[in-house]
Amino acid sequence: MRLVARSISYAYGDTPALSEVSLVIEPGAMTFVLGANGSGKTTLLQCLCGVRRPDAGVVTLDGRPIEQLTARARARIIAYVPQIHEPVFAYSVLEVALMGRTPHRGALAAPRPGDRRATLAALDAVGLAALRDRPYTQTSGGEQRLALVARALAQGADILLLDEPDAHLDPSFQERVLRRIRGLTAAGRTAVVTSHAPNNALLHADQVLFLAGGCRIAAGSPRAVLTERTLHAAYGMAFAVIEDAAGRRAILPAQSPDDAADLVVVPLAQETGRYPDSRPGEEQDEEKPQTGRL
Amino acid sequence: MPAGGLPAIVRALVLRVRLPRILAAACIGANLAVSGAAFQGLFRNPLVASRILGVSSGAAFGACLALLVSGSAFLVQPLAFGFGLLAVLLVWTIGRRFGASLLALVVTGILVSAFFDALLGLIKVVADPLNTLPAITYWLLGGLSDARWSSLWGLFILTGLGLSFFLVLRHRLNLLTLDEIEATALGVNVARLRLAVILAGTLLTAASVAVSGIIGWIGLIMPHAARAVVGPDHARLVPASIGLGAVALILLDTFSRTALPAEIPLGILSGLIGVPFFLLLFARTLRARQGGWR
Repeated sequence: MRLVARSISYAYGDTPALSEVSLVIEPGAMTFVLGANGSGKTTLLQCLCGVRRPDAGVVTLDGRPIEQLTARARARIIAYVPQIHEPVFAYSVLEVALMGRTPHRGALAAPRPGDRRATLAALDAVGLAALRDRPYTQTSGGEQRLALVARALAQGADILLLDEPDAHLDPSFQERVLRRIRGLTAAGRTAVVTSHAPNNALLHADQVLFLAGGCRIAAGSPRAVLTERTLHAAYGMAFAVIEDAAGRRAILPAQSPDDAADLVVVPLAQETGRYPDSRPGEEQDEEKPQTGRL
Repeated sequence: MPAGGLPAIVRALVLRVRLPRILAAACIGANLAVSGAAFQGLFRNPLVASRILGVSSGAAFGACLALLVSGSAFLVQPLAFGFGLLAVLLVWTIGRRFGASLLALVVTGILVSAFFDALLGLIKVVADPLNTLPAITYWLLGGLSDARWSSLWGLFILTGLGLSFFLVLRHRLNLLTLDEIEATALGVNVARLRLAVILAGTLLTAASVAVSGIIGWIGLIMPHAARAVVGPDHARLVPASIGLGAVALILLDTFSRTALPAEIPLGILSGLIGVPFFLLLFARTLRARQGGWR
């Protein structure tokens, strides 16, 4: 199924979070959404899964606006995997994943054996079958991420929207989680992944969307989009894209002296004016508005 | 007691005095425990009970108003029930103006409780210190010594309705402990589910408090005791809380009746026994790191 955002805008009160973002999510592809903190990645995901309704523009599923679907029908097709999920109560991994079956049964019905089977199969698909009775709160960050992916699979959804599945994980678990998701897209599912790691996009993305200040600044294949120019525009800092003899690319913060100037946000000379031991003389007073502007 | 010699009196005592009292204790214990469990899930906070939305403060004000105005016990139950509901209705209406977020509800709950507590203070000041004030004080300490069949039908009916509601809905209550966005993405109408749970929990608490006066701790502790036995999954937690709550209050009431020549008010007893019990439970949870909370 093809999920399409057509020129969607969203604002929290008076603060715009997305402006006129368009995006075609190819079925079976792994799409990375990149951008600085506050660039609108999470809002975009929440609009795509129908939890937030865009102020303008429309999200369609195979050409049909998703708000025409009931919440349950939508949840059987699109799953949202949140960035942070900290349950207060120590549910088991199985109980967490079983919540994915909610859109498949009546409001008052108990889980049926079929729900349990589907959930166990989902846990198996992400390699967590052995941990099913372990309290979710006692599993590692990576295992928790996979448990939530299993919940999305138990949901039976074709389209998975994952909010920073690689955040707060060590490098090996980032790779494990992303490979699992990649395996799911290879098997026909569609994944949209937000991330703060452009290198992960280089490694795993089929297509990349870059957001800055709620606007789309670039979209396309990872190699076409992840350029020094786009990275600088997106993060406000210089990056170097390096390539080895085998053609593999990596992105590093730029190291040259010229670029280093970009890294110093507040010049030291002005910063000293803020220390409490400096007397409030006239010179500092003159400097204060300047510091404030920075 | 010479049971053989006085069968008529013994029968009357058991059927007319003891039996209604025991049934009332069972109902009230179950009601407070199950609504405590539901509210702890709803507010994702293991330290709340159903009185967090002001139902107890409202009910206390209503009961004491009845004692002040009429001087008889006749009006106590309806007014306690009515003002308990009114308090929560106020919290819901005011909280909705701030978006009905959990935070808004908790804050308005605290404010409305404080307001009714102030009104209650006013009643105490103007109450006749020889007759009315002792009656008010005694009612506020909680107890079941006035439990008779004639005054319990309302409690029995509402208990039946409320407990059935929670038993039927128990498979859905885990979803209430999720983040609102997450639950919505699973196809759940979060606002409707929250309102239904608040309504049912409030009815059960108001019906209970109207009969027994304020009995703290049961609603806070029994859900934790139940979690320690059956785990946090609400499908098992709801029946376990109902059972443990009922048994606990029957035991507590029996003790309050028999321990000393004069009856110990239930509100006092539940604190005296409840606090050390809670400490034990807390210590055990901290040691095991897997019981009721993170």
